[in-house]
Amino acid sequence: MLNLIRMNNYRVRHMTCMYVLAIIICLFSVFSVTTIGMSADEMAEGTYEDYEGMAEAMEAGWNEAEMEAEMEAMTEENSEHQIGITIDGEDVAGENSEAYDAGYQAGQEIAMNFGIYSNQPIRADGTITSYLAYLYEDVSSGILLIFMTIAAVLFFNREQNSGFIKNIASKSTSRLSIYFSKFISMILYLLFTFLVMAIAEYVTLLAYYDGDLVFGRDVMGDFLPRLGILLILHIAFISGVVMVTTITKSSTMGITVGMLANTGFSAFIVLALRAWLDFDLSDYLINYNLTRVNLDSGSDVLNHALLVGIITIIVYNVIGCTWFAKRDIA
Amino acid sequence: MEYVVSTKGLTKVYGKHTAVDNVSLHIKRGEIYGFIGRNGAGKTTFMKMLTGLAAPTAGEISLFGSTGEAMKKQTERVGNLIEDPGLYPQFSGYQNLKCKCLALGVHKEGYIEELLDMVGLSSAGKKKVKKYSLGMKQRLGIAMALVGGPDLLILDEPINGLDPQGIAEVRDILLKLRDEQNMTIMISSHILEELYKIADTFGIINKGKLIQELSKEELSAKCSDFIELKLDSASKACPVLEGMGITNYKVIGNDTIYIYDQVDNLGAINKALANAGVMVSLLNVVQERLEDYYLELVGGEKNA
Repeated sequence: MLNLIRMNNYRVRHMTCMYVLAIIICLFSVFSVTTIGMSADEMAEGTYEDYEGMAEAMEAGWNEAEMEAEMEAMTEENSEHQIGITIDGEDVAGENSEAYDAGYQAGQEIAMNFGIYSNQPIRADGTITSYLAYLYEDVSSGILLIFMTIAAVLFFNREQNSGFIKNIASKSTSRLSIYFSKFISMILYLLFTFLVMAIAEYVTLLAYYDGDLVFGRDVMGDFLPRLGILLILHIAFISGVVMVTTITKSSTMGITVGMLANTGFSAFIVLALRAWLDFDLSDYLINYNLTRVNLDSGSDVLNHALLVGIITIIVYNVIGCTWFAKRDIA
Repeated sequence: MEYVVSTKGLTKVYGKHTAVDNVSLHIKRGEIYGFIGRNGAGKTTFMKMLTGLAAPTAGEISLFGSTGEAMKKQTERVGNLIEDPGLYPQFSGYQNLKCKCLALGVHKEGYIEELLDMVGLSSAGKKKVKKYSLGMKQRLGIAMALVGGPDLLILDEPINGLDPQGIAEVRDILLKLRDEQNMTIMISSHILEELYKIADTFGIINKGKLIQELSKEELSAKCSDFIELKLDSASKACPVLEGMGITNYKVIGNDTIYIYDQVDNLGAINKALANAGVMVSLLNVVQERLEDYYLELVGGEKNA
């Protein structure tokens, strides 16, 4: 299998699309820092008049209860001036406020827990708490998954589509080795893209704050183990995308499934199961666990996320490998 | 007799379609085995089973004397080019070979250059495969099959798309591999005349079944000269021919007979038929082409 890993690493190093994706990740990181930085500047200047309550809550030190109170106060104040949605003359918000609230909450849940959502650690004065906290939030947003979906699908399927698979599958090498060697190469590529993102964000943040950037050594003890769990969840996601690609032999299918899973589609399945079967699938989904694992999450959340990641990796790879091993090479 | 490959009742069924039906075939060490069959006859499917790309539905394969699980280890000694050459189009010829060398753990200095030179692609090694012509891709495919120095080469229509010069070069490569390295080669092709030039043994497959397995000498004997006789009544002519001791003949319709005996005795045959009152309109010596023999065997129509 070592030979196959060497071969696959050689392929990754010589595939132009892998470098293109890495450059896009780099540019995205710069863009992200710049955009967040601009918002932070505006907050520091107090131009977010409508978010005074949020600024106050943030100054209180990210107390969630206080933030909620401020949000409720803003909502109540706004609802007095709310223009209700009327259908056949009825004020839906007024007469069906419970349904409206439930729908609103579901929408919030979809946006925050199943899609790509980043809650950057920005203070009221526009500074960030630390570089590591910033980086952590970006990784836990799941943005890397979009790029890894494309990379993994292209990498896995190209061997099949080009027919190169015939050159190695006909040797005594086991099909499991062929499958896993590609998987390991993708894990290495994931680490590479993470490094690209980390370096790009560090350099951009350093430049944006004129060198006045707190690295975050104080959170290192929390950062490293949680980052490990996040990367395991990323690997679990890749396993799923690769499994779909292997079974369907279709790059389109693999990328579509990956993108839908990344952008909140799974939330609809979760909500439907909750409504019809009173079963909450969210605890077992990768994206949901990604957003739950914060720098201040307790061990129960961490252990659960780690377990979900490991079990998902095992299940998806067993299915993918078995399918690949049993199938004739076309 | 040492067989590098032997199969016993090898069968492959896809749903309701039997692609390979109970094929028992034998390939001797150091020979070139020509595998002949029309499109859809089962050649590629059979070769895929030999190389482990497809699992047989039934039957047994013996590679280098090993069967079952032990046989899987022997596939290391097999190089193959099945259907189209499996190449990464965005990689160069060199890079494709490099990938296979890495996969097989081959790290010899200058090895890739040697392979490229052997198949006539030394100057095209750095060019991306997507810019290769079909012939160049076929040659690179052969080079890929040779990575690792296999003892058995399985080539599925390797001369497809090659010009006459290319075909000649591939022929020379294969003959050299057999003669200098004692490599065993199984090659399938539609270009029967070309196959005839290099193969030592032939296997003819049709609709999944192996119809015939014969040596070059046996095939030569079957593709021999014969007399084509056109006359007014074949039934009147048969007793005359048998009276002359000619028993190896074939009646085609009511007015044509092919005679395989006494091909040099045209004059005597003509005289005997004339004396018997048989009107002969054509008396001609014909050399049967391999293609005609093959088409006859598989039940196809003869070309004019």
